[in-house]
Amino acid sequence: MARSSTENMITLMSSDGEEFMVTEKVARECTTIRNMLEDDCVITNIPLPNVTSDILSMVIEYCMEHVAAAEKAAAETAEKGSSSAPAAAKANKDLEEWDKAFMNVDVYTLCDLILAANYLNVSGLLDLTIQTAANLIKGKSPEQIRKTFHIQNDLSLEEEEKIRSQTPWAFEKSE
Amino acid sequence: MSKVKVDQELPKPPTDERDWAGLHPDALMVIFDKVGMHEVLLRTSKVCHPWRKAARDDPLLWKVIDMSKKCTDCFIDHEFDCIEATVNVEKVIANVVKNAVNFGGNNVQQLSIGYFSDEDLLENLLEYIAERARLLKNISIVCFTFNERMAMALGKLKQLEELAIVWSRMPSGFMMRAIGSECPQLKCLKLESPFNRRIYSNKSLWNILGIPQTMVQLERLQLTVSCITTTNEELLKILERCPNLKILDLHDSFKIALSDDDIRARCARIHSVLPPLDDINNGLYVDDDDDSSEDFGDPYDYIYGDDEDDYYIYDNDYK
Repeated sequence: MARSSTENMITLMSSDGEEFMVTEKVARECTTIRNMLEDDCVITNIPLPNVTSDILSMVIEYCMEHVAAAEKAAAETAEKGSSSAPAAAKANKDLEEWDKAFMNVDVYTLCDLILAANYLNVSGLLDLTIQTAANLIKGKSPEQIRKTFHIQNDLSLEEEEKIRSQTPWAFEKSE
Repeated sequence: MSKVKVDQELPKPPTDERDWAGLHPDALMVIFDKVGMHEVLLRTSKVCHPWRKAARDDPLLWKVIDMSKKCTDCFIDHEFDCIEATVNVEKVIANVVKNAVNFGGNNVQQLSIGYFSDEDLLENLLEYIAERARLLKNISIVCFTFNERMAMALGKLKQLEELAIVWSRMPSGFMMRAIGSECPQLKCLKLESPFNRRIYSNKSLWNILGIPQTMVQLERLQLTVSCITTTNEELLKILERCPNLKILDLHDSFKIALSDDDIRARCARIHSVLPPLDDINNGLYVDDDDDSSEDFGDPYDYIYGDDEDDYYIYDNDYK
């Protein structure tokens, strides 16, 4: 997190009391925090009672990676006068790969990340987590979805029978 | 970018039992939107009560229900080894459409359904839809014979703005008048049949459409039905009755000579006029170079272009 000394540092505090020092630029990736900073520019310590330390550290990791990628792209553009399309495409692809690896988490963490991304309003992370969840759902039967997400089946036998009779093939092979 | 509406305070995520069933409905809805209507309808909504409710309450998911042949073929193909050969596929599809409409209710704005050989099934389905999707704005149906019962059902859709009847023989003037008077919002009417049905050739446009009495709000009239006879006189009457008409496609009907100065002058206020093909073939239709008409580009773009609210392009291979 070595940055030039002129950059403002913000302290984010997780629900379990852990403190994270980040640059203002990284903190501003969270729209919720950006709004707070714009309302009150001297604020340096922000408590986030809805986010645990392990999730907050992941959100910060995501924001830092994306800020770094954007800075790198901007620097390259400034250096060459114009960004070269292949280099930009490669950088995008690298970032996508990074995102993909970053999403290699269990469903509980994914759930927490969705809530945190929503609460902190990090649109890129929210899109990423939502898409990951959608991909986990796609192509699965209701029972497989329950297994994947550890969801209790709370439908009564009667309800299930009724739903099943509408489109029996969506559940299993008909006998 | 999809964004979940941020309530000032989201419920605090329980740290011990993080629960996908209990995920905030707003978040679930955004996920369901990405999963897609068909899959949510058939599987995702059947996981548990909270997911069922979120699916039902999702306003975006059911806005456009595409059950055209192309789509239903897709899921029938996909699931085919799970469907018994003896199952009546049309009944299965009708059930799926009913389920979708049931879930969507007043959120359904656009609905497109494919061909049913069983007229009774289609009639029932349209009645079911009219009872539940009361805010439907746009419907596209495919059938051989558009009949009175179907017209009555569509007449219940008071918000209907666009109606496409594909493949059918010409509906009677009585039916069209009924729809026109029951659906005062109707702006776009499309009757399309790929067949050259000489047998109906003597029906005139004037008799067929209820335009003289109703449908004065029409903005788009598209009649790609072979062998309707439209005369200059009839066309003039339509232009008179429908002051808002912007797009007119009569490209298969004949007996209109767009070279007629009077007709041309009156069509000038219409953004896009597709002339009868015969006129094009005979060189009667001359595109004048008036700049104002150029602003709207190729008239086909208006009808087959990629406007978001465009009619569905359907396959010609219904059998």
